[in-house]
Amino acid sequence: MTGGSMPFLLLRAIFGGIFALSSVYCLLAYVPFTYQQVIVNELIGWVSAFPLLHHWLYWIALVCGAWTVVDDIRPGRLRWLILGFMAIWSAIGVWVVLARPMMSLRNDWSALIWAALWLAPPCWLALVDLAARVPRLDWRFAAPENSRLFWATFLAGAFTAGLYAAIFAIRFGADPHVRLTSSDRLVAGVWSLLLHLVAYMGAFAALSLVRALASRLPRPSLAEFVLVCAGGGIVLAGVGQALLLSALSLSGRPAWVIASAAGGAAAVCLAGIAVRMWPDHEAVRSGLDLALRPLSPVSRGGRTGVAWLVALAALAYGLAWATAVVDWNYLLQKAGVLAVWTLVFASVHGTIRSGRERLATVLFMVVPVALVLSYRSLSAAPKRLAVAGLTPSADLALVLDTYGGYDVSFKVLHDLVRVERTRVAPDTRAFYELLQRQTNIPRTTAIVPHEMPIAKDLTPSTERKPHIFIIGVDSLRQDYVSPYNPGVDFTPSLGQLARDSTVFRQAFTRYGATGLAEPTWFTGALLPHQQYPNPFGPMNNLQQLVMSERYRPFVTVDSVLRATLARWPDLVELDRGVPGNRYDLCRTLEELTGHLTSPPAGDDRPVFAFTLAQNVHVSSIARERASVPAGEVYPGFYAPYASRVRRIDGCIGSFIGMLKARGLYENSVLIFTSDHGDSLGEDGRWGHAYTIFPEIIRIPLVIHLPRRWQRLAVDPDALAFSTDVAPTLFYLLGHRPTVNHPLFGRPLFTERPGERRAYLRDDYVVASSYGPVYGLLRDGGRSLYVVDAASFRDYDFDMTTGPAGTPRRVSDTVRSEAQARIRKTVEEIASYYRIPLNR
Amino acid sequence: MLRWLVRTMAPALVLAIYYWSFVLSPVPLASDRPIGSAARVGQRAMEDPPRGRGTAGQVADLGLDTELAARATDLYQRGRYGEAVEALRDLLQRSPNDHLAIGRLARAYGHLGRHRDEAVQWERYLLLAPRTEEACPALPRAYEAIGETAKAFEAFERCRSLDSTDSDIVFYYARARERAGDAKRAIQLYEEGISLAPDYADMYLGLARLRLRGGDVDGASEAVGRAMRHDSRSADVLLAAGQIAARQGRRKDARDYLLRALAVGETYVDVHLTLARVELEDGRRDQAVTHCDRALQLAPGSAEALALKRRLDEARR
Repeated sequence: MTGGSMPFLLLRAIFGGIFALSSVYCLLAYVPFTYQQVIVNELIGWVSAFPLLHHWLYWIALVCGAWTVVDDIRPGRLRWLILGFMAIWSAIGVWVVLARPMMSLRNDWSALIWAALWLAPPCWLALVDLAARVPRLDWRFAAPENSRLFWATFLAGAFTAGLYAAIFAIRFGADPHVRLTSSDRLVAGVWSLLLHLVAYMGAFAALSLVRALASRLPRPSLAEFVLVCAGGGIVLAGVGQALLLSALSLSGRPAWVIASAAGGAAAVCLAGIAVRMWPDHEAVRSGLDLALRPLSPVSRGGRTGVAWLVALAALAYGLAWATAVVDWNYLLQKAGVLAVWTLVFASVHGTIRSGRERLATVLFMVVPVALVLSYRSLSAAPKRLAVAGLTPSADLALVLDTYGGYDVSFKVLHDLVRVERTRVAPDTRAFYELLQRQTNIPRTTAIVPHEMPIAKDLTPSTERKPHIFIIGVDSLRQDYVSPYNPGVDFTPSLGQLARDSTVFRQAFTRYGATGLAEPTWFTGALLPHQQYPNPFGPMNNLQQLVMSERYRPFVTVDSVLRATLARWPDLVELDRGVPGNRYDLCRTLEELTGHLTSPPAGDDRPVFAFTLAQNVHVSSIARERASVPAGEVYPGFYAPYASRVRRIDGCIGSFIGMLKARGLYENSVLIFTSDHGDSLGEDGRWGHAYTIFPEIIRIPLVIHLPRRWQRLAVDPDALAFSTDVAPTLFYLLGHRPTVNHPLFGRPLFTERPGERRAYLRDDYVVASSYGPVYGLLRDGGRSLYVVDAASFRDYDFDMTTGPAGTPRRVSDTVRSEAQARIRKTVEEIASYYRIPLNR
Repeated sequence: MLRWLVRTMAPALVLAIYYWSFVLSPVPLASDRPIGSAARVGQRAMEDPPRGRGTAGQVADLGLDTELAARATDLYQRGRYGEAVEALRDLLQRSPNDHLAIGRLARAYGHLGRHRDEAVQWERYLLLAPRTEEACPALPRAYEAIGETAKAFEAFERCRSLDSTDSDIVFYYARARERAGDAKRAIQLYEEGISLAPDYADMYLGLARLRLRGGDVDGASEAVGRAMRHDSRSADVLLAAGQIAARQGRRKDARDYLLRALAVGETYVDVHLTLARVELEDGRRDQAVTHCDRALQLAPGSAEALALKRRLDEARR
């Protein structure tokens, strides 16, 4: 089979793709968050199907791979290399079919080893490629091509900056929600161009050095090829670790191990494909040309090259458009940008013809030096931009941060060179490291659960007990329901509920994302950052209360509750058999209505019901292709999200109507809330998994009480948290006083206003469920300070300016005070749950 | 060779400059305006209509406000109230209507014993805060502390009008009336408080105290009995029960109550004194002396304890 032929490339793509997917799947199993959400909770359908099909896919991959090298089985050492490949990996294939290792992956180091091992077959085949082709190629001496390299890098840099600026302009040019003036956009565009040129010129210098070094070796073009591939592998490993794995909250030694393995494997495989694609009759004059061959179909062409660049521009736009909404912490967008950068450079380099070296090498080097010095000069004194008529409307750092949310190509570079990352003070670095250590604590670190009662006495109360309904909607934002936003006209039922309930206007979750947010409803307290201590039962206060008070329990047992509920003999499981990412509130409430309207004979126990619907979760919206029913428009709102909120509002209205019709409403505690909010494009942000932003920690919290409790004292303007739900129910059911501890919530309703005061704190720590990102809510909820220990930077938000707040420049005073408070709380959590601080 | 050296050294030098620029000595992106000034991005882009001092003014203040507020909070939390007062006053000069800062300033004055200033700040707080419960009962108690009894009562009435269901306010008001010798109004208030919060043990206790003073021992006993039902482990309740039992001549019961009160709070001077009297009346002089000495040890200048001591000395002679 010819190396560069379409069938060869297709078979290799299948072969490499399946093993790469296997490796990624194992990596997902290693990271605690992705293990819980993607593997256990089956957040992404096709990923869940992967282990079921893996043994078949393995054999398909093996056959495809073997097919591409079968022609090389000739006498000699190469034959043994190929036959060895077939024999060993076939034997392993038999074991894979019998043992199905992907079905039993554990969330520990063994998954990381598997992730590295699945990269071995592609590497083996790449060695076959290299052994088969390297001796047959004509590695002649190559003259320097600094001129070509210079223009290729320079034009690629300019093209990439312009491309992403154009994508920003097309997607957000007329968006009134983008908080950038036209002068801000211009300044950011120029800054982006400067950074892109600096980066590409750096690549120019590095490649020039490689060529110069290679030229003194016996076979210069081969040496250049080896150095370029090795350098490429190192860069891939570094960039992958810094940008991609950190987005998955994977850091430290495990990140380096897998990044190095993946970077090395990618470089070796591309090298193998490159030598396969190089025609026999053509001498290799440039190792770089050869290395880039798999990445560009263009070879010194004119129109074809331009057409290919246009296609790449379309690809970049498509990637930006398709990945933004479903992305996690810019992971997919950054990966897309890195791919586009490489492809653009390969294409431009392939398009430009070699010419005479008119200028000396030294003169080419003046350009990168000038660019770097300009960058330093402007960074030190941004006022110098005014000389060119460029004046941002606000602090330049904030303008650039905001622009970076929309232009991910710029964001990658801006995040890489920002000083916070490279020059973090030692004590701050130690603080970030503490947060990293205390986040995503692996299950191998045993956290011994201990009872942490909200109230000392759980003797069942003798008073008439109300029914309790906790209706949670995953990712529901506060500003998408009318009790919080008068501009919302699509939630009339919630508006009605709010009129005879208490609307906590300053309600917040203590955890972004469901992993830890949902359990806090049950514990009423902050948790160790682990998914999850086992057994969790002793910490599950709400379940103990409901069992002790002999309620008839109806609960949607999702994957989080499956890990955090203790044995519950009389539990009626709602949504049984429904996949965890498809819990539909309307269906759940219908099922619950059925139970309420036909209770078992002789069972007059009050009802406790809990559900966490997935209707507006980003994965549900993506799965339903962001559809919006015909005729529905939501100006100023994200329509796919708002239309789903409208639908669940109707179902809540029907459910409340049923409660009223059956005379249950006035003897019910009905809590409507969400586990966290969501970013829906604010400053380019989407999702909630690894971040803490104002729109993520604000939640709706509406509590309806039975008439007899409506005299209780309550302050709807005081700060209220998801951790307050359990203590409130303890208090209401007569288990008083509830514990007053910094890690615990408080009763929201009390007999006397004075009772609440003892529970109030000056500030409250919030955190992401999945990443080392912590926040401090201060000044009565008017400020949010965020520490992102994954990307080594802090933010400060003014919370008074709308749902998403407004970023402010971080001052040193605020930084030190907020970090000290967060550190204290993290240490308190560690002390309370007996987690070693320096584990 | 020379050419090769140049071709090698030139890019190596460039890379060295990159390394120096981005790793060894990176330049932070400087702010082109002072901290707090135009600190919020997108202010103009969002076209928020300027109000009051105008957008730029608001923006300019917010960053510095946050710093001052954080500093004041820190000083307050560390108990450095004098410095906290200065920081809060600076903050209030910039944001005169910040009710949170006003409330904190009032509390800081309270800690410093500057109750007149405290009262002034709480009055401001009442005018500006959306929820006023923080000022109650601190404001009337500040007036009480500076001897402005009439103003204290008037402030209590205002607090009650802000939240008529707040039984804490009623209790503190009743205590103030009680301290001022207005037993009639105090009894009214305690009874009102009991109707608002039937399990508020301190209300019954106040009622019992006043009835006892008025000679209504049975009424006091009834009130203490109800207090005991709600809080049988309170040293105050046990003391009152002991006093009433002693007045009724049930000295054994009185001793039991008082010893239980001591088990809760061994340093409670009044319990020691009452117990000393009971022991003296029972002829157990040594025990009486022990409790009286302990009371004097706890409160060396107590006139009541000294008088009892004299009485005990006379009894020995």
